[in-house]
Amino acid sequence: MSTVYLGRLYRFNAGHRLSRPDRDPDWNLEVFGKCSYEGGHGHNYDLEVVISGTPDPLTGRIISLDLLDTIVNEKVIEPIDHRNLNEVLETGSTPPPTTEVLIRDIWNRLANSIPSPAELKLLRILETEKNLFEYSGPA
Amino acid sequence: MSIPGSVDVTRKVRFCAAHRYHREDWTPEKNREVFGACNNPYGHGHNYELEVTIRGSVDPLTGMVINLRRIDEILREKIVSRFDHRHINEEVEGFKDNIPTTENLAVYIWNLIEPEFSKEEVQLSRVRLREDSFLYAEYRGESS
Repeated sequence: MSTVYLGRLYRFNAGHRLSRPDRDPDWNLEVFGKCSYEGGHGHNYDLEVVISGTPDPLTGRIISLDLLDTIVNEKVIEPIDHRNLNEVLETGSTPPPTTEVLIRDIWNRLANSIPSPAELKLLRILETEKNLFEYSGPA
Repeated sequence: MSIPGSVDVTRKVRFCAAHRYHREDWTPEKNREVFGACNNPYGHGHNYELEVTIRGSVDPLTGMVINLRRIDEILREKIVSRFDHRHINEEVEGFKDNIPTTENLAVYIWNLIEPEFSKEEVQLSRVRLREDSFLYAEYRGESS
């Protein structure tokens, strides 16, 4: 049987501030604009997790949605939801926690946790309704 | 820190414009048969949503593929200022003999902005133009 893709939507809220401490305030304001304001700000992030696999002939599924929810909640939502990304991302604040940096961080949290033969195929993060970021791994 | 793999960044902008599907070299009956309500005289309009996808590696200094502000500038200058609140057939260069279907508009928009993103040393990977929530056209360039 051929490969099927499954996408599951998760939501979390987090704060961040885009600023490099090794650069002066003018540089930060020029590059990051309002995102560099001192107190930070936050977003409601939509995270789409896309899993690929071959449907199990017994269940007709490529992965149990309950299991996927458990994995994503434990690895991503619990540690990140309602937190400050500058504090919780493995990359720390250099570079600052843009969504490009966030999406790769989430990939690293999830990639080895999906039970074979299913695998993590693509992540999609909607930061605002106008900004979408997609990452399919370090290949 | 370098970030392996490329990231796709998609930015959405909106503009409102009118258009009409009509070929002068066809009879009124033929125009009506092929284009239906889109052939009504004087045209009609849509709230367009344009989604532009840029592919690139993440700059370790900024954590960005490209500054969203630069995408906004390019889209405002090249696309929104040209189309917003215009009648495409009448007021936008290149549509006298080129029917402003969503397909043709997607290709036209690609050709306008692709050189600008090349100059920024990032790759335009997709243009998706939504005419309304039921229809969009997507273009990924000649090589795809």
